[in-house]
Amino acid sequence: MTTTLQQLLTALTQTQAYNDLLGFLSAEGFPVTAWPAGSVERTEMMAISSVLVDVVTNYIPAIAGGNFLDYAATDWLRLLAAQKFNLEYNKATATVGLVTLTAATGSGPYPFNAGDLIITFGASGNRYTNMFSGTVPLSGDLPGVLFRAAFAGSQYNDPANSGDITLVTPLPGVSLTNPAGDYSDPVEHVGAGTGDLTLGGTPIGSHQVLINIDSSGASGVASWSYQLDGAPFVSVGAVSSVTNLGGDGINITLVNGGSGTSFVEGDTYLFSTPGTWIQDQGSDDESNDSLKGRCRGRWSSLSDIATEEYYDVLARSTPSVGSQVTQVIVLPDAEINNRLNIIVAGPEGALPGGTVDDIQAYVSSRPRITDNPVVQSPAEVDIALAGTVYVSFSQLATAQAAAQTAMLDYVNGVGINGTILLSRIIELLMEITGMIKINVATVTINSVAADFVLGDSSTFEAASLTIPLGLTWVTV
Amino acid sequence: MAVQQTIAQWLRGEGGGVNIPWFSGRENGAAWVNGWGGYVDAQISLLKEAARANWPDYGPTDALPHQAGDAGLIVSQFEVEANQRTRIKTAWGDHGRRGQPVELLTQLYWAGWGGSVIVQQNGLGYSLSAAPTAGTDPTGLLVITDLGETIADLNLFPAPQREGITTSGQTAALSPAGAASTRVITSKTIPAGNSWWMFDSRTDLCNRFAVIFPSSTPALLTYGIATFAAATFATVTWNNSRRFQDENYLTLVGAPVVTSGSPPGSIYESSSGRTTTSTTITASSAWTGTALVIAFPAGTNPFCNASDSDLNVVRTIIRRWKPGTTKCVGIYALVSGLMWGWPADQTWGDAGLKWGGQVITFSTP
Repeated sequence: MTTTLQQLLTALTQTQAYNDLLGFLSAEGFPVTAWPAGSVERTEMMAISSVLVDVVTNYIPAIAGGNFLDYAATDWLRLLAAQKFNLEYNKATATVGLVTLTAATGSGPYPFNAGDLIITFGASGNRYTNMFSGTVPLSGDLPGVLFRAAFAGSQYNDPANSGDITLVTPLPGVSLTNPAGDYSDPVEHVGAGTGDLTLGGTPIGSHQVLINIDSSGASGVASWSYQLDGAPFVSVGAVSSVTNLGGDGINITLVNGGSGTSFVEGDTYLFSTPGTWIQDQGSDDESNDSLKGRCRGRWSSLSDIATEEYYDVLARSTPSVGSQVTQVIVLPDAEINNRLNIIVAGPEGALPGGTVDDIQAYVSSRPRITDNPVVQSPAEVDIALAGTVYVSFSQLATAQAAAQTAMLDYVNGVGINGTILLSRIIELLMEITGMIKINVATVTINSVAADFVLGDSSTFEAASLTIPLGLTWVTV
Repeated sequence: MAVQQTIAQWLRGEGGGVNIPWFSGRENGAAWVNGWGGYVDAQISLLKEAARANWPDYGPTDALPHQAGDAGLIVSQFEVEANQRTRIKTAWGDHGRRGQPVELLTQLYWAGWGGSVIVQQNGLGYSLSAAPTAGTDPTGLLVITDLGETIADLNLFPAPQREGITTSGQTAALSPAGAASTRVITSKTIPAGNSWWMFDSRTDLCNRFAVIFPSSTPALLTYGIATFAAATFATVTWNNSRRFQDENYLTLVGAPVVTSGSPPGSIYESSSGRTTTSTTITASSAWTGTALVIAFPAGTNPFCNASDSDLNVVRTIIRRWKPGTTKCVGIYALVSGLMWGWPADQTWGDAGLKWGGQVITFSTP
């Protein structure tokens, strides 16, 4: 009888192995059913089956399953990916961010070397270490000091302007901040032009803006266009500045470079609002699902004609980015032939501009002729949950913490242009220990009692859950 | 070279194995060696099968969908197992043709969506001249057709208009006073006499195509042949074993085709014999012949309907095998009458043509 895959994958218990062995002996004429409990024969058979239980319980299922992407996991999967698909898994990365050190009047100067300073965020307890040397000036500021998380992982994603950062290695009179301006800094520029952008205004909401130089020249002579949150490009012509871009309070001024052509046709400038203190977003080891997706997508690289999957794999395999990219969607542009929108996001949503730039550079070097791949992050949409929930009095604190974790995992994991399901929110909340009931009629997403759809075919959005949750907790 | 032998043989001392004649040479000892050795041999066989489970020529039947998934293929209920194994082994060649129309048509064929035609906005149509062979480059089967020509210039985009750009960078309709600059939106004119397929008024988006089915295909028609051999009943097995999730569907029993003897007074379906993959046709008297039976969900066209899973398969195939920058605007199945634009040499107004007909559209995600 041919053994099926499911049979090979099924781990047998020692009892089942023992019964199998008895079956073979019975077939040879042994009166196995006559052996009493505790007899030499049964004890001997049990000992033999205990020796072989590793084979039937572990080895056979592991060998059978380890060769299939559907069944391999972690170590087996990484081996399969490397041996059969020539893909190494993306290892975890550490968060890198900018901190400002300020010496009070009369304090300093404080010179330091790389690794001398250890800071900790009070809210999370996360620790970071400085990457380069520097000096905090007497009674002054030292902005832009790069700090790296103590360990790799996505949990090292502390918010900007935290207000609760302390030096573990004390410098008397020195305080720390991790400010984030209205815009990402610096503006990511790709191309040969020497000009730059000055950003101003009072931006409203979270946005990503991509500027494309349509014809070369100085500020006011070069024509350019902009793309707001992945929507089709809009030409502004040969103007030196624009105010209130898209009605979102964003002001852009083209500033000439010191020499050479300031704005060259084909150059791009990318920035987002609000800014962030994070330069590189920390991430965990590549998930099994992500690695499996890259393995399956590897086949697309065999063709000279780039399919959507080909660009998906490129975005996830950018060498310097690692596992920062956890979500990718690829869509043909609705307006321009052969332009491909590649929307990328990380475990915490939109990626830093520098990371998007790295991916763009990697993908742009490997397109099919006449393809125009454009890499961008989705705009982040704030998601506010509300509703009345009833919880056991003694488990209120635990339930609140668990609810926040569950909602963060679900909402932030919905994916680019995904749909946040009201039913799933209710289901996850009810699974929390201590939860007694939920007033379903009061549960809303952004004040609406319905599923929330992110983005559409021409705009790209990712969810960002508002913390703390807007739930009303009633103890019972 | 060492002689291969089983554990049982080795325990029996064959081929230079363990030599315990006083044990294995006697009745009980021999039975013990055969039993214990046989059990260990069985585990070794399982280990070998486990190692070979993902090899196309050696893996078990239920491993084939997983092997196919790892190879970026979809195997379907419309192809025999040998075909699936060959395709998995030769996936390298298939993926080398990703993005090409011939491979998209071939992958659709294997999934039960054969007979498809790809029509491009810029005037080319692609089809296969014959069924492809697993493991063989299908390029020689590709038929390229110039689609119907435009009889007049195509200039269907909204009439040219001037749009004002204010100094604040915002667009405004028409030309406001004080506009810093203007731009003119024009359409792209396609001169008469060019092959073309019109999806809408956009003459500039030539990265678009559609997949059309001018005739029935296995995934769109669920049927079976009831074969009676001097009998009063016959079992009909549906060509699409995955079409129905339950037994709530309808059937159309066709007229009997007698191959010998007399026809029965009537033939009908016995719903008590219905399953998701088959049903029983009963005749009022024994007869010899065949009858076509069609099955379909209530509320659908009996001759053109598809399950959600089959539709998802075709959408996945299109998305996976098309070039990344192209867009499939729809899947169109011709149910009756004629379809605008296909066949390419069909001229409206030809003698014998009549108005009417039906095309079913399946959208692409």
